[in-house]
Amino acid sequence: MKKLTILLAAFSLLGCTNPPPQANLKFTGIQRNGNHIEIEFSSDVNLNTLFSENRTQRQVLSELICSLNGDTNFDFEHRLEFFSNGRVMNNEISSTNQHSFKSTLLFWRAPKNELDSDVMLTNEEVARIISKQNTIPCLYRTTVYLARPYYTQKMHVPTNQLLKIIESGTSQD
Amino acid sequence: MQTVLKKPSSPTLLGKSSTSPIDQRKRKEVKVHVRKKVAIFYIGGAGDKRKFVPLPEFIAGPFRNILDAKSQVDLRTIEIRKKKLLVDFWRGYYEIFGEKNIEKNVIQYIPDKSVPIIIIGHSLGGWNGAHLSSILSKKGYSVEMLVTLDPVGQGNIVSATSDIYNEVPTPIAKYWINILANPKADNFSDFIADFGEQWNIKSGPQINSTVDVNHADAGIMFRLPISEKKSALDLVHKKILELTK
Repeated sequence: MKKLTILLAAFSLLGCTNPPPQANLKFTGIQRNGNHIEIEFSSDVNLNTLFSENRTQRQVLSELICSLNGDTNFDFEHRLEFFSNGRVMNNEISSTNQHSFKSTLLFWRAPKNELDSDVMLTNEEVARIISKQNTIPCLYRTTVYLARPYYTQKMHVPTNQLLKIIESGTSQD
Repeated sequence: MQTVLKKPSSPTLLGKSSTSPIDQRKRKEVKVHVRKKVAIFYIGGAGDKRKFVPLPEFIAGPFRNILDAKSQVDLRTIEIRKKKLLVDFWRGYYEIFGEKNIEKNVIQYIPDKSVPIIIIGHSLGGWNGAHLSSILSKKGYSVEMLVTLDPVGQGNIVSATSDIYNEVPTPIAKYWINILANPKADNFSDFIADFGEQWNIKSGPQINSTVDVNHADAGIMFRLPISEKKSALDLVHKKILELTK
């Protein structure tokens, strides 16, 4: 009964909880680390403490996700056919207003049958898919209990820089 | 690792065999290693792949907890994936409940019975994943590893209202890692786990560890050291390397 009371209290508090501000992301660089491709970006909101500074919930799934073929629907419920994603790690804090992050990207094709395994794209496939675009859109998104999924604003990653990095190595081939 | 015996092909010229005594000596049987493909099934719990009750998403999900574990395996298996030696599948606990679902959502995706299987389940997905390990093993499949991340399912209400097995699982896997979440500070997800009742495992797993982590954090449980400074992630990765060597 005590736990039920706490649960009901938690639900009632939800109405008073404002979502964290939608962060603006800025692409700052891309590099190769062995067979990994790391993307670096900054945010005007600390993405690691979105729900933990004045809230008590930890983010569950946090990822940087990029669409490779022009589809800009990043809703968790929507499956991107060609996408790249990666876990987001803290980088050094560059200033008080900007928080720096990096993410190791993997490149995927989602099969039509959603029960099938995602297929890792080869370098050639990635290059072919992104080559006709100047930039690809990426954003950070996360799920958390007692809050709606969180999405930042989109940032745009220059395709030429990504292509250069892809072509410089043998990652995923 | 599977070993087969294969004869090398002999060169021919204008349809005639050019086998000399030296060639014939070369045609001795040689060992060829056939690498096995590994199949990993990630089994999410309540509110992981779909809402667990028809309530708004901030209460009921989906939260995609188990994908945080998957993303860590993905990062370590790029080379193995590019050799097409690994396939993986994300399933909700309800998708592996009952014979028909197991046939449709699991067995159909395993190329053959020789394929080594790794099952990683969280919460109700740990409970049903443990059942899955015994069902597949009894059918002749090779369940190499089972990882149960804070498995839940002993509660009568959850058992009566969810697509989970009533009986306590008796897993059959060559190696079983169980991790119990016992946080110093509870959060909402721990109340949910309490409601479903954590599976209190006394014996069975080769590693049976308790960590100071909230129930929701499947990915953190997966990467925290649990045995000799090794995490479940480390041990799964090591197993994948062994199986695909």
